Amino acid sequence: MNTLSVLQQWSRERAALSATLAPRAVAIALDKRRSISGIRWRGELVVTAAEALAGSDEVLLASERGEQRATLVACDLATDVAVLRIEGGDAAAGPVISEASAPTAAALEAGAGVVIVGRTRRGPVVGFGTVRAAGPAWRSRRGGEIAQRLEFEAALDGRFEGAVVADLSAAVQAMLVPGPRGSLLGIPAPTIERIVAAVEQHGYLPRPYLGLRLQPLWLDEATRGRWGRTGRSIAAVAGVEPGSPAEAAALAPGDLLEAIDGVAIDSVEGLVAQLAPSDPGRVLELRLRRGGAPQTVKVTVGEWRAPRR
Amino acid sequence: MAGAPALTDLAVGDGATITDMVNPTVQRHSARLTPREREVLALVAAGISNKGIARALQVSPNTVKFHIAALLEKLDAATRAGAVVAALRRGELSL
Repeated sequence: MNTLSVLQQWSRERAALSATLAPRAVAIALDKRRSISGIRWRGELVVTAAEALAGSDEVLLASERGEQRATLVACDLATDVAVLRIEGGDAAAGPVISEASAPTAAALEAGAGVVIVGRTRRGPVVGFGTVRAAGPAWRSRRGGEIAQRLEFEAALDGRFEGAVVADLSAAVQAMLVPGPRGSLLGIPAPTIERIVAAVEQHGYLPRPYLGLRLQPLWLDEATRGRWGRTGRSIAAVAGVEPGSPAEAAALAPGDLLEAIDGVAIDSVEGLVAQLAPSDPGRVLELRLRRGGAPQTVKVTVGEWRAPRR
Repeated sequence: MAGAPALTDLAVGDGATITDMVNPTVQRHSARLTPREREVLALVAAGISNKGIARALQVSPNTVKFHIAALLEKLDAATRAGAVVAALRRGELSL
């Protein structure tokens, strides 16, 4: 009777876990030498790190099905999620993606173990790590609403950008993206799912648009006191695009933006954060200060369209 | 926008003008974006690919890359998302 030592079992389970997740991971060739990873999410849709694509819209993708072309469907810099569609592929063909690796909305806890599976054109690459920090939902500076703050500790390189981050039961928890100062962050599965679901519904990612240009202004203490504001700065309207929802609502340069739907705004980022989750068609109530006097205007959020020429 | 008043000329009430309140960090930036750079950045912000931008503006993809490199430099940004945030804060990009 051969009995496995604890270490042998540990090693076999790690290899089995990696093998379960490998069909989810794809390699995305950026050029002849460099590649990043991506996650087969559902059907022909693959997600990867938006920033790393650097404006590419047609990439060569390698998976256990071999090499295929994929085209960009949506690129959301706010959450760093890009969605690609595999061209001419049969969704049913190729390696079976294990049910165990279905994305989960269950939150990770600090200290939990994770497995990170990416791919190069030569095959899967695997790293094991730990959840270094797990915090509440947050907004990126660009206004992206991200379901959970996730930071990992693991020894990884650039090939893992966009890789699968799974818990030790093989459920996909997040996509790996680089953070500030060399940190490793995770974009949680529910955030990715929200974007993929919007792409499936519309065929693209609709973007809210107001047509406002803003600039931050510092408020002196006396003005803050008079206006009953706590923030040191306020967002001033610097311009209104012709034909935009902001123009329809008669917003004008010099208007100072105080609140949206009752949420105090004190910076340009504040508006970005409020606008980001708005669907085109939603009506926002803007509280302004115009010529020193408070006013309220309603603006119907538009949808961003490429300028015609 | 010929004939439109400059933002700094507009009174914002209580006797203060916007010039009095402009964020000094905004004024310090000197490298203004060109109209073409602003067009490119609006498309970058919307997640349009380099080729898509090239098609929309009827220029070559290399020209788009050139503009994006200039944008990152002028906006002191390492990433596209960083450039978008910086331009929004400077009032050079509309929301």
